Amino acid sequence: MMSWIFSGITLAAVLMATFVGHMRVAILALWVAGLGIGAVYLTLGAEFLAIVQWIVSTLVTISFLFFAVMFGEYHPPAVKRNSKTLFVQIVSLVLGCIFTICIALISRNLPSGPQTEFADGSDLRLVGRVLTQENLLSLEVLALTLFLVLVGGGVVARSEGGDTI
Amino acid sequence: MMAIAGLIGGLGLVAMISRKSVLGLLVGIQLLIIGSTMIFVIAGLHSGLRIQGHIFGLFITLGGIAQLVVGYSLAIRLFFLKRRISMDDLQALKQ
Repeated sequence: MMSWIFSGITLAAVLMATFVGHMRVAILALWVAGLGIGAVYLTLGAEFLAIVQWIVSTLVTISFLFFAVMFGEYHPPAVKRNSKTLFVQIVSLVLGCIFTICIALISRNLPSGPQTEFADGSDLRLVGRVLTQENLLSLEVLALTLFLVLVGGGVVARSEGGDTI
Repeated sequence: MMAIAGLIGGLGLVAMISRKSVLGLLVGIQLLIIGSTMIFVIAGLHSGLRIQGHIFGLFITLGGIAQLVVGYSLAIRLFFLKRRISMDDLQALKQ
């Protein structure tokens, strides 16, 4: 029951983040969606993922707000709607509906109920064991990817004149 | 529950396509990542591989940070060149 309530809150926040015009409201709605999805994970017995989701969502929201202010998108000017904009919105809605229907159809192949009963409490020990014993290479690749992305992001975002801040 | 996860991902796809600015595109990608993470968690729960679903969700969430950093870098680069971050200007990143 609680997971359905949190799913409803998340869905409302996602709808707002998708369709609202102001970037500031969209970013805050994205934060609420992240917090809601973390609460859903908590009700589904994924405590570790819920904590990670909350931390990531909060940091992402702060960075989004920072960049929105920096780029002048915090209060963006109103955009005139023309036929091309309307066409793009309709196409995006159709594609979104197709995506949702595909996921719903694929989920029919899954068993109807949870196959494993999760015990109350933390699953940190089990997740840590599986992560370090069975997925160590994937973890290393992910860490290397994040490092390369940080370095590459700094290179891409440099100014042409080589000015230092 | 899986349909809700798919709906979240689908709405992220809508935001990705219909938003005009780079930050809007990144918001859509974040929604898509949230939805796909939820799909893996629920699929793991229903198929009896609960922890594996969590691990996949963790990797997707952390991979989302990588794409966010790249998106910010491109947005900064675009802002250096055009003084705005409209998606219509995202054609050439060299002066």
